[in-house]
Amino acid sequence: MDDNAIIELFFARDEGAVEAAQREYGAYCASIAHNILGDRGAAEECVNDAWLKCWQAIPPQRPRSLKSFAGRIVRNLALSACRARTAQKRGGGQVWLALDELDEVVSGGETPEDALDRAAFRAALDGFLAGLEPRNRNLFLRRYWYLDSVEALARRFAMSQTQVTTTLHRLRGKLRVHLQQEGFEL
Amino acid sequence: MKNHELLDLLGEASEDYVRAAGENVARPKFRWKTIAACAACAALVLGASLLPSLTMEGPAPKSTQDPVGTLVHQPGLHDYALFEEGRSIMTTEGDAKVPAGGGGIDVPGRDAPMPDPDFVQPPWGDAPDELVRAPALSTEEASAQYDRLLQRMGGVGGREPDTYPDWFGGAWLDSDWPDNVSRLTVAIVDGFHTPALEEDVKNWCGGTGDVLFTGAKYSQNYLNGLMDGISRIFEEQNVRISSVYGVYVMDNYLGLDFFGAVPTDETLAALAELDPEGDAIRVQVFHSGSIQLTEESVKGPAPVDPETHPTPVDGDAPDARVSAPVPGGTVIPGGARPAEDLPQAGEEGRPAHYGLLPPDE
Repeated sequence: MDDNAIIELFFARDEGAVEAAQREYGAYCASIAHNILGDRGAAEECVNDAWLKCWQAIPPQRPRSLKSFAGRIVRNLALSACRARTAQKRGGGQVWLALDELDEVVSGGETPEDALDRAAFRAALDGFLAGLEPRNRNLFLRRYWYLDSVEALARRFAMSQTQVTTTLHRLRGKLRVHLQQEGFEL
Repeated sequence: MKNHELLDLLGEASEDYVRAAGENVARPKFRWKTIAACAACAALVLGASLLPSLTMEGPAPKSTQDPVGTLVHQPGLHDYALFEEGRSIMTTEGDAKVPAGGGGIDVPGRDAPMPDPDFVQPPWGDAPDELVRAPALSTEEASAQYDRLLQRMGGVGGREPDTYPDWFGGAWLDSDWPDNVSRLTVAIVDGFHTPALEEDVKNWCGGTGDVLFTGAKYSQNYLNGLMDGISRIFEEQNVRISSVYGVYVMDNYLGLDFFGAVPTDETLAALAELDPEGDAIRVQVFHSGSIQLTEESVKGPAPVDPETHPTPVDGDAPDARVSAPVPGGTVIPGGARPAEDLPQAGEEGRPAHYGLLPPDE
């Protein structure tokens, strides 16, 4: 079933929408949640919550791509769940490793909520991604959007783990420079 | 800005890029030369394993006679570790259900690889402290060293070469993130180590002397070749089980994970042929059992009273659960959790729940 048909089911408030969405994108969403939470049971719960969020959001929203829409919701839910569960740094899949890596990019200082223009940041981030080779862009997003492990990246991109690590290190450096040039205080 | 804020913001990347990253998969190159070499090796190993059976008197351990007297070869089966969600963990080593290492056949080197008696242990073997004390470079410098090494071995533009020298067992950066320092470690295949080679590698890397060396049983070429061998087995046997595999450079083996089902004996036998010593390929099977979620499994253990259980100071109590390869596959590489962390059957089941909002910070 294609996206439009599933979205029409959501609009018709047909409960088959969730079933169809789970059938089409359940595995995709579960992989994102599992990368973040490192726990298959919790990941499944997270995906279920994401379908509930989709049910609440569609309508009025009509996503261009249900896969991306659901994936983004799952990512946010999983990160929130991870924070709630891991006060002791227990579990959390790849999140803590990724956060350690991102420490290279940021200063760790407080940023007042109103001091950050999220739209401008989004534009700067897309500018950074646009300037990367597709392979490096995919590698970066697989690590920091999908939270794939370095081992998984090495398999996916047919690289050694060392290459993955060094490439990511360079990309983080580029991101830091790019964001600073765009005027963001990191 | 804090790192978790950045991680959140990275979630707002363009939908098109995110979708493209979700679909793009690079496949390993298909190396005919390596496959041919592996096939030749497999043929040699198979031939060598059959020879004693044909020449020995009496029933051979690897072969039996069928009623009409035809010699029937019983191929060895590669052992694997089974991870059944929420239940248990087992390995096939010593298990009667699937014979470890081939129907009880004793494969030399499976449990504890025997060193070559002529092999002289290189100086790193008994002096791990020296490795730790070696001075570190900035991660940028160590990365540059790695690039120069790759280039010297035939890599172009920071990419891996098509084939590595036979002595090369892999290289990686040991990084200390908070201090942003790293050490390039180069693994040299056992038997190839000479002071001259070590000196050459140091020169190729930049001649600073801050390169660490360690030993490896298998060369990078060999492990890469195993990937092609596995691809070939999967194609020939039309293996449909979901799986991923890749070389774990630091641990010098190829990890092969199956999801949802145990591979057939035919597949295990083919893997055993590919990995005669049983330690180059580590197979893990993640089997879907019924999961019983418990509050602890979802939310973590209950808080510990700091007065009765003081928190250990960093460095006092190293986390034994950190992935570390153990022969037999009882530890999951790649950051997955060990068996004792999996929810255990028999615990009191409760509905899973957790807060969707981040705690106040």
